[in-house]
Amino acid sequence: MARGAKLLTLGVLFAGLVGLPFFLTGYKLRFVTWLLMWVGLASTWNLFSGYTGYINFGPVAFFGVGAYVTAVLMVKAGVSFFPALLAAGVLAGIAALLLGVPTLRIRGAYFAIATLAFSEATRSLTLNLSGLTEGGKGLMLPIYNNAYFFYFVILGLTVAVVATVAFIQRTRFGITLVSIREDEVASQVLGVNTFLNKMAAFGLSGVFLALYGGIYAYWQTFIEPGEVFNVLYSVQMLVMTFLGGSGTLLGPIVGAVVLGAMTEYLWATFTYVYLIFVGVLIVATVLFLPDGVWGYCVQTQSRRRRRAQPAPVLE
Amino acid sequence: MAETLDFLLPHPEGDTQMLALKQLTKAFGGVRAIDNLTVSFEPHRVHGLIGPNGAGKTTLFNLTSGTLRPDNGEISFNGVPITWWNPWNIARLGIGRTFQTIRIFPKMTVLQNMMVPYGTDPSRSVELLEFVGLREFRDAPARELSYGQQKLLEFARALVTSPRFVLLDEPTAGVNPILVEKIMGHIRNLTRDGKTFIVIEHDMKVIMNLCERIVVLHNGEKIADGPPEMIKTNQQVIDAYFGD
Ligand SMILES: Nc1ncnc2c1ncn2[C@@H]1O[C@H](COP(=O)(O)OP(=O)(O)OP(=O)(O)O)[C@@H](O)[C@H]1O
Ligand SMILES: [Mg+2]
Repeated sequence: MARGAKLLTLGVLFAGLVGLPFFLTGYKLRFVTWLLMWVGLASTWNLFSGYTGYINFGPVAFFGVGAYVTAVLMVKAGVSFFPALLAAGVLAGIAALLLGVPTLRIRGAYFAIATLAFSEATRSLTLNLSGLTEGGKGLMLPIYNNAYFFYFVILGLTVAVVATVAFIQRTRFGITLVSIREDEVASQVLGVNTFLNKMAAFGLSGVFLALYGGIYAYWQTFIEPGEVFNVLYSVQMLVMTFLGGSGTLLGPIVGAVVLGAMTEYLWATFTYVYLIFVGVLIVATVLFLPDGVWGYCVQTQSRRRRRAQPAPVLE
Repeated sequence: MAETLDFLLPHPEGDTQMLALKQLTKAFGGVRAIDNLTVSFEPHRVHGLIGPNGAGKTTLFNLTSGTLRPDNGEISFNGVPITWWNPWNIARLGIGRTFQTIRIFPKMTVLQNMMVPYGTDPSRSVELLEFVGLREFRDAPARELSYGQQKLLEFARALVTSPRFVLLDEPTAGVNPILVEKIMGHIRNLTRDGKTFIVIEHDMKVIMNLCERIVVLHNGEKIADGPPEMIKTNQQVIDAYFGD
């Protein structure tokens, strides 16, 4: 697409997203807000795992930490929402770096297991720090009944996340992350400090996840460890990303919208079928569309474009 | 000018060591891939590194580039001990390498592959791609290249940051003879400009043609070291290759 057409599409899309809530009410507005959150969560997961190939199986840890830090600061310390949210982001970023030091040295299944264990550990910790978190009883936040507010805060954050990924993709940092996924040792002997690059991406993803968690807590007004540390949330970020195409800008967005819409329908009609459905979807994606829906489109397109070029002249 | 003419000056033994391995040992289980090896390589030379399969040649490269840790011994580069350095810091010191089993970034395009090295130079990227005949494939995913082309891409990628010291692990395997000649010419030119190479190669014609000095490994030990004419007639080397 030409640059002008691209900008025009973006402009129209943005205007549409800004105007949309005023045509929706109650339930539908909540659904669209929820969908935008998942677009952002999947994109955030992709920002680290999609580009570096390190499968983070516990992203919900940072989401949950963000939710609880925001909630505790607001409820127990009387901090107002945005400062509390900022603190949650900073804290989760630090937590991600601390977790990264030992775990980013290990690859493959071990990294996935380590991050999964971490998310379960943060859940137990939250349950047990009941003086601060009220444990399993959950925490009630100050009620702020303004659906537009949450729509626009989440829209803003999701735009920021997608713009960040788009920017990273164009920088050397983006190329470096992909090189880590493709062949980390080769990248290292070419002078790339892979550890630092992984840490940066992991820390950044931790911050974004926590921001979503904090907003989510305030939006829902009630949180409990079982929900904001739900392993299924981690799985959903992963499935959305792979369904759409990991390591691409638009993949997680496509995946989140497709799976989000299907979930909404299935969840409402047959709750039990949902998990089976997600399982089947994972298998089908891996088998038939290893690069995801969007990844598949991009590849066929680029192949066609190259075939259309004149044949190279041999020396 | 001073730098380009440097190679003409006599190098008194002793302070001519650019890369020095001292009593280096690396074992895998019971196999001593490198066995108490002491050897050094001087600047502005093309060194050949030969030896039968499993002699420890690739392991020597892995230890030097920091992708493997030795059990014992020391490695220094221009007097700097680099034994325990990270691979990226060793690379930034000016040591480049290629791999025996190709390690390109398969899903990246050819040009993106050239953009990964730290301190890469875009104009030199294109120049080098042109040189190895891959310019027209610059936007193709690297995995779509043939084996020989992938080997060439790795060669070009290793040179794009102009490292002072380059380790090439069988650079000509699978590459067509005309291009092999061209690559050998390029290696000679770069050596004249002050670079240093160690080339692992099974093709003796290439080695004897290209190298001023050849180091022969066998069971992780150095069994011969000298100019090609000397190596050709060395009885120990002949035994190592043809069995005793
Ligand atoms: N990562 C590894 N794990 C276990 N054993 C290894 C490893 N790398 C090398 N070896 C062993 O160390 C010995 C030396 O291997 P190396 O690859 O250095 O040989 P080489 O001289 O490069 O051989 P070739 O000419 O076949 O490439 C071999 O016996 C090999 O099996
Ligand atoms: Mg080898």
